[in-house]
Amino acid sequence: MAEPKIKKIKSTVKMKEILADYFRELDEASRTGSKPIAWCTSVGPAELLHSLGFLVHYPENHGALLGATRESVEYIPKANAIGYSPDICSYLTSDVGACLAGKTPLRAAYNMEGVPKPSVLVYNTNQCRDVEDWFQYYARNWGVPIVGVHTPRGLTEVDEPLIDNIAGQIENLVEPLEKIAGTKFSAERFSEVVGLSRRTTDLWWEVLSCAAKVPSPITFFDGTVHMAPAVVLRGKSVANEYYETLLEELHDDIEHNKAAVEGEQIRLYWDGMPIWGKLRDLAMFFISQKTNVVASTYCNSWVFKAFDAADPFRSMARAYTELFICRSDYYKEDYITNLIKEFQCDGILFHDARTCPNNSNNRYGMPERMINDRGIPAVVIYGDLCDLRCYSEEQSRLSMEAFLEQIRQGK
Amino acid sequence: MYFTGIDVGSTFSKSVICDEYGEVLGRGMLRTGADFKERAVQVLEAAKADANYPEGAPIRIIATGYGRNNIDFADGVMTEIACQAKGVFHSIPEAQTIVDIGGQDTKIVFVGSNGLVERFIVNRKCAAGTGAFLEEIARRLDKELSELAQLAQNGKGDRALSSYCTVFASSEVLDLLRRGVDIHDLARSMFLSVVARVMELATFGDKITLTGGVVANNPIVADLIREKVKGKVTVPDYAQFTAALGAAIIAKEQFQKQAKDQSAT
Repeated sequence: MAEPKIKKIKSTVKMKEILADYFRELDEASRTGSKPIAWCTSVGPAELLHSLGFLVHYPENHGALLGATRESVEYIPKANAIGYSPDICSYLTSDVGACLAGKTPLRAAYNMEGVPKPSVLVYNTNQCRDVEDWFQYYARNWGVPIVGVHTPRGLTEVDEPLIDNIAGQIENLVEPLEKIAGTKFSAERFSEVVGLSRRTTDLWWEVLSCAAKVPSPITFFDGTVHMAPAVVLRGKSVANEYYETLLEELHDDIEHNKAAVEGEQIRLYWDGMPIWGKLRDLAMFFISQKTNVVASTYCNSWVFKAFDAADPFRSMARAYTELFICRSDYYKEDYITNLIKEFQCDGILFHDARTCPNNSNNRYGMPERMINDRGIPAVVIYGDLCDLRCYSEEQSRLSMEAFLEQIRQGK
Repeated sequence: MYFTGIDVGSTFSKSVICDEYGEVLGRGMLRTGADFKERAVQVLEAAKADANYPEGAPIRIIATGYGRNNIDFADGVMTEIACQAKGVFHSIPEAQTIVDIGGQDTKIVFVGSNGLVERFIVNRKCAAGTGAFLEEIARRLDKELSELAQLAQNGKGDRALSSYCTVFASSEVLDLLRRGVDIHDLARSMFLSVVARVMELATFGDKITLTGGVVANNPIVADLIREKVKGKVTVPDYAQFTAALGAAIIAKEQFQKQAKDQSAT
């Protein structure tokens, strides 16, 4: 049988260019100290940092790169050896391990000197506690200041007192960040950045929504790559220009009925983290099965519909608190069910990522409830975002193939 | 026309040949070893010999099991989950929970009254509750597995080895030996441990069918499961061959459907 082909997205060339520019600017600032650099968690208060003139580096993006290049497998044990457990976030252990080894894939990919040196470390615990522990490692070892927002999780409702609290925490970051950046906070500039981020997020959602079409012109695996500007360049007009280009291409594909998976027969929802080191293998597997993973919790995590330039602090607090990962299972189950309807999915694939309990939604009976209470077929595969030692190719493949057979028998 | 299923499992390869009515004509079984394709050829030959298959007669083959994708001479490939459901439902046509305990993994398959797979569960990336676990403990005790199964028949107590991990369970066995636990009771604990790990995977229905090599070779496993569940527990004849049988039945059904579709056009 001929090897399945992954449909090319032409806009990728442009994305690579803007990402190269982004990393070049970071590298320059890191080498020369021309601009302050903030490290920020992927759903941290990036807009505030941009408004204060920081360049922003996202260590999770670095973690994903370490996973995708499979270098994680080499570095994780180095972090384990200094006391960071193999059971905690493998972004953390990959990144810390790479630091201990003095290595980074950014050198080969973007000709950078190394990981950009931070002036400050800024986290938001909306995802997990690990992001704070991760940044604490660098705060301790490099003596870099660290500030953060502490967000509760497991929320069914996001109410006003909570927004007051989170908005207050974000406002409290202004003073220490002003000192580090050496700039004065500008409400006008902040509002402008939040407005740009809102536009980024709207465009990114429009991109993801293209997959609601049958057949879909894009896959979850494409999404994990093309979300990069929404993660690292949100709040920048260059991200918006990129998504306008990508949308043009996808709309053209839809008009010409170009499917990302030729002969698409089955449509799935992916819950949980990507398996970065297996993206290509999995994309090829699903193409060979005429199956498209059209929707996901993960790619949607950078859709912040609450951003409002007219009310930047509170809207940012809301956007970063009403995230899927902060919510209760009641909320999550309704959210997934709605997307499964909207994207016409035949079933849901839960990825239980060994080192990411907060984004492994199968662990408290959700698959059983989705099957029994909502009639949505579900399957669980076991793996990890970066630590491929936790992934069994054969067991996962068996579960996925059997799940697709199960869906086909009902069609 | 002959229809064959070849199940290249992690430990044993099995083959079943049946006729156009789904009647089993022959079976073959060999240890899988390292060359999946070669063993598939050999196990097919064994089944052909058992079935008195006339050389050159038309034959359709579906491959299943760990090595399914290596069998390039097969007409199709299906997972052992679909094949288990098909093979068991062929002889026990009712809604049921299939518990398949194999050499490397354990699968629970919920089958509806129409014979379709309603859902399934595969054990995590861990050998506890599988044949590999039993073999490891047997090695630790320097006994044949069949001997331990015999010893367990006269064991007492309801104490399963508690560890999830096969390596930890081995250490636990050493600790029990050090404390002078009777070997019969220890052997029973070992099989109880397999049962405990399997029963942790899901809540079973009223009708349970046990398949796979561990059940076929160690009747005590079925006895212990019967002690633990309220539902009716059945072990089909040739419990190790049910996936291969299912594959053969699928080969037959696919062929007959194609023939019907062709005649309709």
